Amino acid sequence: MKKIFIIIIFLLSTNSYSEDIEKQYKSLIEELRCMVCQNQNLAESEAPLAVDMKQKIKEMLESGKNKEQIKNFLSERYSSYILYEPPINNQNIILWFGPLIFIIILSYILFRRYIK
Amino acid sequence: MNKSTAFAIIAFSFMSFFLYQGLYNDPKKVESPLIGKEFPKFKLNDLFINTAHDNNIFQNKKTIINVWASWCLECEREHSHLIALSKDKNFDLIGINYKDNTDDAKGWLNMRGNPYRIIVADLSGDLSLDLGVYGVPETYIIDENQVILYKHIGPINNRIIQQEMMPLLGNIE
Repeated sequence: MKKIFIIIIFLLSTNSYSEDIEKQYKSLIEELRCMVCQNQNLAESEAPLAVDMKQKIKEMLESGKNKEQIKNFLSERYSSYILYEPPINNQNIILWFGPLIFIIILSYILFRRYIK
Repeated sequence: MNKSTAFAIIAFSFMSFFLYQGLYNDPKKVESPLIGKEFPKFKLNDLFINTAHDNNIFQNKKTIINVWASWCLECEREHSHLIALSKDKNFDLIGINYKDNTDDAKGWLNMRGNPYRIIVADLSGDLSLDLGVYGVPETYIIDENQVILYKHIGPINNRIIQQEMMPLLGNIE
């Protein structure tokens, strides 16, 4: 009885473990760009390079790497262009905050005009 | 012409300027983040003989590394350039055979000549993934300390060799 119990627990736990990997895998391949396609993510692409990358991602997840490590691994090799949500850095800070600054300046101008 | 028309024209030309520049951008040309980094560690078999190679194959000189495959049409176009480059002994030329059938690769070289001193067979594409390879052909230059100096995606031609590669290889002809 005890043995069966242990086996059931074991099966449940491995099941949830692989489910977790599957979940991480699915979300990763949606966040990563297929480098040889015109604006497709890895999940949508069956290009040879995308297939290789998906295989690599699967292997890395199975060997215990987390999502951040995998993203770093790939962007170190293929540049942050591979990330659909690139990190904020000096090069793209104007793209992240430019529109916000634009709206602030515009609303200031309109506000000034309105109260005149 | 009143103020707002002038402003609109200026804003429009400003935008057009950037959009016009965008026409000439190649979306596939992404600066490789590997430039300035060391060549990745690898251990792969030789294409011809049953020996494993690792980073020790690099000699103490500048090295051109060319990624190619027999199924790749563009590789055919650049092959004569590689043959010509292989005659220059000031630098080394190594080939990475990318996801290829070994017999096809050997046959391909038999017909066209083998410019490489050593060819490693990257059957799984693992080393190529480490190198950030998009597809074949790709050409890299590393220095004496195995630091990556240059990467070119696509076939090389006379202009690229003379203007981009030769200055790095230290031969100005």
